Amino acid sequence: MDFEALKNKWNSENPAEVNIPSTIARLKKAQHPLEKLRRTMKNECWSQLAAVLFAGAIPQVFGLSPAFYVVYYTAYSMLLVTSGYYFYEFYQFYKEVGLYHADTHESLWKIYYELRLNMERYQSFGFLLLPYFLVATALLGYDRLISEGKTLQQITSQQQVIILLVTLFSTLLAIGAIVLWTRYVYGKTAREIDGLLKEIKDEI
Amino acid sequence: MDNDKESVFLKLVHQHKGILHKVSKMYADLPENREDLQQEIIIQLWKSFSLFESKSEFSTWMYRVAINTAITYFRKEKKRTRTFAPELSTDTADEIYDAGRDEQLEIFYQAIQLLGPIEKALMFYYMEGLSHKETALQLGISEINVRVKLSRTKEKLQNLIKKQSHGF
Repeated sequence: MDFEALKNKWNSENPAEVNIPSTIARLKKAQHPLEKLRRTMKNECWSQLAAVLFAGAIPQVFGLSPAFYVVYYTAYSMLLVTSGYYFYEFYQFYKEVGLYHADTHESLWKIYYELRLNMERYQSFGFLLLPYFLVATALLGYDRLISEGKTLQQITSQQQVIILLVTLFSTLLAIGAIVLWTRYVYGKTAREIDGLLKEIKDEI
Repeated sequence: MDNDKESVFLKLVHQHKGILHKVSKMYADLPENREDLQQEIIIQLWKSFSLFESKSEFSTWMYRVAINTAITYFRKEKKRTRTFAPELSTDTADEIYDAGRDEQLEIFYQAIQLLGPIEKALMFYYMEGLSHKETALQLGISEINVRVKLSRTKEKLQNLIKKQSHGF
């Protein structure tokens, strides 16, 4: 096939099957993988925000003794500050992901870099929440112990081992779930873009 | 103000709708997938329109956005029965019959489907008549890299056509 000769036919092709809408509002909802990712992020952000706000009401919901409020809300204020930082960073990523006006290599590299960075951010945010949950659970547990008229000294060695194992197991489970969820949401797109980057930079 | 911007944008896209047609035809095999891809490209163009600097050609900017959108549109599509003789193709009944459609061009488009996303971009810029330098700028790679990759891609395409049809 003579590609040079084909160029004339290519140039004179009639683009009849292209439908340009009369207004932008008439366009269908975007189905591009990065647009879907943005939608997932937006939905997740609302549920994360709701969870953070709910955490503020945990002492009242679970009837924590007011004597522990100061400890609880100190931990909660740290949660608020770190969440604020992460939400801001997630928003920046949400705003910028999927702008394609730069050259192909730069666009791909930017998307890939931002995706990987966001995966790390997401994971570290999740890991940062773990100590907060540990403090909250410990406070609720200790409060219950006191209300039953017991002290920490009365916890048997066997119970201490169980507490340690449960904490260890649930921490590992939470870390595993965070890593798997991040890979599920972002991993496929990141791998596909990585493949494109390898293809485009496959130097001679 | 926004309505003005929107109508200017839609007018420009309309003037350059050939780019939408060609890019979608290279990156999507079936008419319904092509229509979806065209929509995605228009959405991305609109999203980035405020960043378009009028000192560059609209078509040059549109090439970039269209190609970048198409190569990252990873949707798996149902493949049509792979035959390069258009009259034997079994999945074309829903396509609008166009007597003027060129057989060689159809064979070319069908063979293109077997190339990788970056190879398709190289062939697109080549067919649009961009120089190696211009293609290098659009893709963000070196001119030498474009020359070598394009030569390999053309050879690959020739072999694909020869292997699966009678050749031209």
